[in-house]
Amino acid sequence: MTIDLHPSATALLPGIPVAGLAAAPPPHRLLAAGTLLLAHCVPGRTVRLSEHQHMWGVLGRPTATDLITAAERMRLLGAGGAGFPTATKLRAMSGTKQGPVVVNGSEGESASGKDTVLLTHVPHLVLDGAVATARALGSRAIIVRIPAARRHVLSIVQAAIAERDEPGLKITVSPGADTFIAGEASAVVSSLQGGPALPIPAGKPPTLRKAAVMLSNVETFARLALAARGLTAGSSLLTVSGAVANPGVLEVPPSTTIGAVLRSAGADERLGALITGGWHGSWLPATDDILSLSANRDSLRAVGAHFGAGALIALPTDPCPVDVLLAVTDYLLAEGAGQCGPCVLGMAAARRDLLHSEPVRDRVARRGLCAHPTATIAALQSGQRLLAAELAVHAEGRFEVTR
Amino acid sequence: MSTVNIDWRRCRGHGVCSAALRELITLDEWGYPVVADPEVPEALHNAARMASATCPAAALRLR
Repeated sequence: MTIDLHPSATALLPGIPVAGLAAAPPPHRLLAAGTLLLAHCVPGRTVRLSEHQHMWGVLGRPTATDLITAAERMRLLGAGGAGFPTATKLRAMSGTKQGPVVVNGSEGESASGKDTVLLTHVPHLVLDGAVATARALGSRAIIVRIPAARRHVLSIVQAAIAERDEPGLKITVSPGADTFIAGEASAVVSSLQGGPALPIPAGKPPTLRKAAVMLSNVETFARLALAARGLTAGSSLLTVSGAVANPGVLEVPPSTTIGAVLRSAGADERLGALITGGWHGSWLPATDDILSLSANRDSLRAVGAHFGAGALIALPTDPCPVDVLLAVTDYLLAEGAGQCGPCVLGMAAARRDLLHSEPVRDRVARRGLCAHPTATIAALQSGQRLLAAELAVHAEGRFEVTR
Repeated sequence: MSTVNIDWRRCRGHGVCSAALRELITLDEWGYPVVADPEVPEALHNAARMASATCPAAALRLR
């Protein structure tokens, strides 16, 4: 894999073109060794099984109760964006007919790179978490879902699987689609059933051939590998992109400030705004108050902001953040599955509100098959709150409102 | 106790369900159903069955 250490100055946002600037590639690279999951890692190098076992010790055989207790003690939340408590998910799974454990490495969020970085640097930590979960729940198969287009990730994970000997457990890699919505849990289940990579009514917990599927995000499984060893330490795993010299992934102690994280990635001195969580996330001013917040879920929640999948997107002062908001809006609308009436119509109406500088209304109200429209409208509302004054100028002046 | 479930992939906003089950289902500005509370009380079971049976898109199910 070749790594471009000097991303093009003509690209700004990963996956989204804006104001004449091309879409930047997804920030799928590690910037520096981390503090826990990615401790001692060398950017661009995969930790082999022997090194992994030397560092973490051989994986034991925790029971479902052990794993649930450890996840609870860790306060482990799903790291794909929704933040659902992992212990609750495990508890719902145990005692039901078990299908495969699915490691969701879709990472459809173009501003996130942490799952890809975990898979390419510490695949055995991720696999440990999946193996411990499968054995605890009595599942006999593990499926690692990775977009087909990310060939180097697929081959690294395949090589890691080949290094392991897991009797009674079939571990496979399943290449998937590379769209925003393809990573949504029920969309993964749909494609594993041979259907399209679009959300379906999959049930809770989701089922595959009438057996319950324990599906979680890559990072969640890496943290379960620690839980399986009785460790409760935490870290913040973040992906920084946008107006930064070195977009990529950083793992830091949870007390590290957002400002320090942005500086580590070489953020511009003056920023126009900040998005936390990802494209479904929160729009915040790049003020000292915000930059001095710790980059973790709790401190962001305390100011009403999303941590999501840990994406931090720094926005420059030029192009204007309003142009970015409109580009992000168009991206999120286009990435919808287009299956549900209230989603298609409700998101389009929210976009019109934004363009006309009217309060963005949520006409979807949690209807539809997935959280995409509701989360999109919440993001638009957040952007509108931050940029209300600028949006009004755009609506009146140079911005032609025709739709 | 049964609940009203809408398959959003099928629903085309005909609005027939709301006519049959006004107490539980209202329509949004485009004619798509808004279900305030999916639980169907005993007294509305027949109306709910009617709503389900007459949906032109077969999108409303009782579970």
